Amino acid sequence: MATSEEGTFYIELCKKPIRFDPVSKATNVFYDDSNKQVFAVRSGGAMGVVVKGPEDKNIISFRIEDRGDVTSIKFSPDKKILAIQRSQKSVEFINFQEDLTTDQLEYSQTCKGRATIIKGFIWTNNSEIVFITDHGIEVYQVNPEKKTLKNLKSLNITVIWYVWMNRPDGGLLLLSTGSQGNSLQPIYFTFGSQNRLPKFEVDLPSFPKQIKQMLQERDVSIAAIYGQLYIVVLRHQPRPGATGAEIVLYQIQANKDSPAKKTNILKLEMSGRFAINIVDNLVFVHHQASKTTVMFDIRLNGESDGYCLANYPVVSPLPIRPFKLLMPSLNLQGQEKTEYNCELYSANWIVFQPDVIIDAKLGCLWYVELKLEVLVNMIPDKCKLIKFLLQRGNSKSVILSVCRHMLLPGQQAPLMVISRVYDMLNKVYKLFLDSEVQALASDIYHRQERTSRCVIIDQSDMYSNVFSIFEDNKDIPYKFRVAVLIEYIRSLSQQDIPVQHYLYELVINILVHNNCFYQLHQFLQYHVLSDSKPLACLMLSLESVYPPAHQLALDMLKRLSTANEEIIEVLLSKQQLLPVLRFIRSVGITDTVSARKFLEAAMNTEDNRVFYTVFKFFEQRNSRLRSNPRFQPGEHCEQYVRHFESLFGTDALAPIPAPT
Amino acid sequence: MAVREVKLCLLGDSGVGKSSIVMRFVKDAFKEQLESTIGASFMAKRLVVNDSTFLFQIWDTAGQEKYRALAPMYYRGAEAAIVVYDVTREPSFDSVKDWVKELKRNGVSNMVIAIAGNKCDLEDLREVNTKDAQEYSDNIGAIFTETSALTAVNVPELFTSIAKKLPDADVYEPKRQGSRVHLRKNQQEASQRRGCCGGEKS
Amino acid sequence: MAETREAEQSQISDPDGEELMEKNAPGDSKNSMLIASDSFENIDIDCVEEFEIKKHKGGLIHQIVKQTSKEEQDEVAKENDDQNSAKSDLSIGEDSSEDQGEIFETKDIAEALDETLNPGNGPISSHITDEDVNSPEWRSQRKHIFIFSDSGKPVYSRYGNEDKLVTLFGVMQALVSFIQVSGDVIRSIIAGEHRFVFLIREHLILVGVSNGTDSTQQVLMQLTYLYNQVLSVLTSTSLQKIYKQRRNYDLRRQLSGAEKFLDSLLNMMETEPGFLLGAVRCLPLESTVRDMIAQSIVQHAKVKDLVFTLMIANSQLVTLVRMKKYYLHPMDLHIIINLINAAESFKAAESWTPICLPKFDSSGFLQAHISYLDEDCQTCLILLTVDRESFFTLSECKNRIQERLVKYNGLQAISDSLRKNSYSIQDCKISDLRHFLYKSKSTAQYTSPELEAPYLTQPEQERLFGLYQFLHQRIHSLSRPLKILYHVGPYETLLGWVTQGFELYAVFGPLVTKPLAINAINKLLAYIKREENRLFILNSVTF
Repeated sequence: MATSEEGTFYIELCKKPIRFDPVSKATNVFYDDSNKQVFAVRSGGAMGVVVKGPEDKNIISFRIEDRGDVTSIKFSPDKKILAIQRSQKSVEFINFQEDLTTDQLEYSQTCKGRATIIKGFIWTNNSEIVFITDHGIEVYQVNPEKKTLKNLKSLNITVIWYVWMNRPDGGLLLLSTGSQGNSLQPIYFTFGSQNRLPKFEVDLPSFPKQIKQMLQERDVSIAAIYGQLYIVVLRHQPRPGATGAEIVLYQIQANKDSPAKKTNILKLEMSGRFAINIVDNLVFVHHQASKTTVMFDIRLNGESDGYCLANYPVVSPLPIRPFKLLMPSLNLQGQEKTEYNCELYSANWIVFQPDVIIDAKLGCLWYVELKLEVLVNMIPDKCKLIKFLLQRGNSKSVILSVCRHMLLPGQQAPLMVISRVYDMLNKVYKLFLDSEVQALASDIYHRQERTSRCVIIDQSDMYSNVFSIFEDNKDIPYKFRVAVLIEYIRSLSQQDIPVQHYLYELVINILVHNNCFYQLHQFLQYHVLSDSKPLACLMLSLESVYPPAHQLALDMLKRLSTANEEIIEVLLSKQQLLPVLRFIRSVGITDTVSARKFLEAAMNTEDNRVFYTVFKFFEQRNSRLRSNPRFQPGEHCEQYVRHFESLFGTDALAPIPAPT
Repeated sequence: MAVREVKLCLLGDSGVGKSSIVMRFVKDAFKEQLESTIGASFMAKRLVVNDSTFLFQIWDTAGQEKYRALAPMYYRGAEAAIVVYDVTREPSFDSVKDWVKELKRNGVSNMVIAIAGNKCDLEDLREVNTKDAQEYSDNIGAIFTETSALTAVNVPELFTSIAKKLPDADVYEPKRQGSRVHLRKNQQEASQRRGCCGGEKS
Repeated sequence: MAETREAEQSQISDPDGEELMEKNAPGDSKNSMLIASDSFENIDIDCVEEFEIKKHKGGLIHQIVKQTSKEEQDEVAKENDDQNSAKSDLSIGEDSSEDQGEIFETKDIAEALDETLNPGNGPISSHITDEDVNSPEWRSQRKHIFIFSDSGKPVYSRYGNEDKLVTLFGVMQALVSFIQVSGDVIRSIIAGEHRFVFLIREHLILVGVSNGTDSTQQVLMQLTYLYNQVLSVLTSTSLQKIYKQRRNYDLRRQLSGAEKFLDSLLNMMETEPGFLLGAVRCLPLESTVRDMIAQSIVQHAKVKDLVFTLMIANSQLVTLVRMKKYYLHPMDLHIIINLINAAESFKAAESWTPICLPKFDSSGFLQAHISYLDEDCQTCLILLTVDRESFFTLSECKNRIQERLVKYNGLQAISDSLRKNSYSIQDCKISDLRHFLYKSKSTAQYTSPELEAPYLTQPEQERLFGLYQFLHQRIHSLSRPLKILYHVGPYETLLGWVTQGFELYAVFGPLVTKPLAINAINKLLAYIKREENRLFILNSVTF
């Protein structure tokens, strides 16, 4: 394959699909999307059941009695109870130990009512199971020790079909009712309670002459997008005469009294068989006929008609990257495997939510993956691209790469665009920082949820992954470098994010290397580069190339007001004895500083006038503190006293006041 | 025994050693690099000669030109004058002659004049020979001696000679007061003659 | 020129809320024996007119002579007139209308002159092949003083031999006459680091060249002092006569022996603040002791024609007794002090010397009887008379005064005071205050503590003096006189304050704050007030 073609696939199937025994006469395959487990049931279980989860190690293997064809098989969330449905009337249970072994002893629960048919069951928590029947739902509590079930609650409602979505705190059950099946009843299960949400109707296209339309189960799924639950409805022919199908999203409202609201319409502009996956909050629509997949981001490209948003594909529909499966060679002699080109968009594909594709004939379970690296080149508008990428879960390195490329000669983005991109990054960054602050005060649960959802590009990321390009690429004009950095700093400041000193350092270094001292001076004086100790230290180190930097540094330290020690050290190192004394006096620490340090520095100036002044200063302090101008032995000032006496004589020492 | 007060005045060029002679005589001391005298300084010294006691009231005048006009103030009324020159400086001996003329003209008539060639210890540098000076002194009837304030040679002897030569008879009463008008007149005359002046208004 | 313009304001408020309280000036006296003076008052720039006026008036000496020869009643009747004439005599030069703000500065000349004093190959220095001018030592001198006649004949150069500097004298003379031709007067030239200040007097031109801290005015003041020193030796009359007779006269013949007075005066002016302030320092003495000394003089030196009797110890005034109606000007007192300081010969014997006090009467000599009263030659008695014949009378007076002072321990008190060193700044008990000069204007006296740490070494003392010069110059700036100046320097903080009654120049440590300094000043004034009887002579004693 040519690399150019390589570059055009942004949707892939995961490299290592979960393999299982393909569907055959003897083997039935089930997928439990709640536990993400594939059940391969051979000969009704008598020949064994193999359960594979997302991780290879979780292979569970056991046998059950063959009591007829299994129609549904699911573990409880804690994998301790296996529920098997073989008939329309009852569900059987088998207990499992911690080590995933089983005694194979089944116990059973029958649904209520003679005419009742169990359409399926769902585990709503470790010991709670719900039977969905054509007459409604029955909630049972499983007692594995006693091997009994207890009916907790029942709800009578005519059910045509149902859709279930597992959630960490329970799940959403959607019941299809009504004559056309388009009257949907959502019930939210959480911690042993059931919330009946308002019923709502999905509008069906009206074809006056035709037989009555039914809302099909296969056209409805539940998706969690950007933290919201949606009912995803595929409409093959939205309006009479319309050719393109569309997907309608009904958002489950946070307010439990409000019915789900139609919020988005995804325009497919194709027709035929579709399947939907939700990957990274994106809606993937696989179109069998064209063998392409189209991607929607409901936060992107929306056109509002006042009620709901019409969304268009993020990029043009493109096929899934071809998948090669290594299969044992048919040639018996050889051990080697041969590559097998899987058929994509095969009729054998079954798509599960959110991102699972199963080819039952092939015995493969894939997760659908999005390749952002590839996508980057398909969205030329950098702002749109960054906006898109920021919504993705794993986009950090891609974003950084995009930012980096924006600075490269030849690919340089206009400063305006860079500025807007930085604003976007920092807005998210700011939200994260704020939530961090809140998290410190509140519980940790929220924090984890938040952080997992957004991509944070912080200053160190920018510094080491983006701005590092300045080091590597000397062709970037320094003015551009400075402009970019200043834009970034501006953007941070606009978000009230404290700027890390290394960014300033970078700016300063660039300015210094290009002899732009005047500009540097201005930046500092107008606080474009805000004050910090490290920055002040950097300025101090620049004194040799730019003498005024020393004073700028001192002023900065003074403004920081937390750097008294540093100021003292700097002034002392410069033998600025009088300024340092004025300083300690102005900040009110005269009484606490060590006289010795100052006397030492004063003596080192070899300027007797300075030494005299400093000595007198501390004599006065001593007098004030102890009513005696002499130094205490603990101050270790003896040699300075001697020095003073040798210069000015003992008469020059302040007189000790007579005791009163 | 009566003490005879003798008003004596030393004259001569600047730096010939007038003050040194006085110091040697009065205090029997010598100082190198003695400062030049300002105006005039006054000292007194008792000297016994032949059982007579003389009280020398010595005016040591400044030799500098600017004080030249003031000299009459000191020598007028003096009974004795010592005109000093420096044996190592010929011009200072020439000045002696001017001083003597002036004293003869303005001094008291019976003034004892002594001529002292000072610094006679500096024989190597001598410019004025003793014979010339002796002859000159003899001519004008003055006492002559060569002295050295440094070595004290002939200093007391100089004063002793003066004392001896003083007219014995009446004890001189110095006129200390003298009217100012008189003073001024006197000086005016002097300045007219010398073409140089003191603090006088015309 | 009197240039201190006092605003009618009695309190100076500081922005910090501290106030300098203007009190009655400590050391103030309505009855002063010295002529009250402001700084720079005595700089008479245009002396040509002064001479003209004096000629027609007759000097004070002449008056005294005339007075004493008249009847008592006559004298009384004339008193007022005499005083008036005396006053006006002393104020000559103060109301000159000639503009003096203009500074002559021509680039070429300025450069050339700077070249002369700085190593280099300027057009002038290339002409001068003289050793003196080219010697680095001569060039490096901080202040040069040149005096020459208006015909360009050298009279005095502080450094080097005048004969070897004739070319330089010639250039300076040419400069002066060049400007004079255009009907103007050269005042100063600034050339590089050097400041050339010209003082033009009849027959004599004095030039000061300084690269030090002193201002043009201060140099001018120094030149005036030098001129007065010349007059003190020669009298203006004599000077006139000399040059009338021979324009080309070499005045050095007349001044020989007097150079040391000029030298010592210059040295003194570089360390003695009294010249800067136009004031004298008194030897601190208990007022009873001082009164006793003065009374001894009054009683035992009541001699006709005795105008002033002064006692001076270590350049400080012990007492001054004066003839009624006659006052001594501080400038003349400085001339006397300089005379005493410069001449060792007074210590050897009683001296009788003419001296002209130019401020008193520049036209004639007073006769001075000078003697030391003690063995150590510390206390000097100066009797100034107009009677040239009174030596023996005064000598007797001196003996009687001496006897009396010995008897009543007056000399002992003086020597004690001298030994004790005036007083220490620590006596004032004001921290941060290092040194000060306080001048009472009405008495023309000043006081200041001993020079103590950190001003122990010669360079430090010179630097301190430079600070005072700076402060004084800023306060008395002709163009912008100040009442108060607070100046923070690299090593000390200076505060100068001039009121109707006093001038105060204080030196603080550099870390002092404005409120602290103001507080210190108020304390200091209280201290001086407490000590004023000891530090100042508040009563004027007359014969």
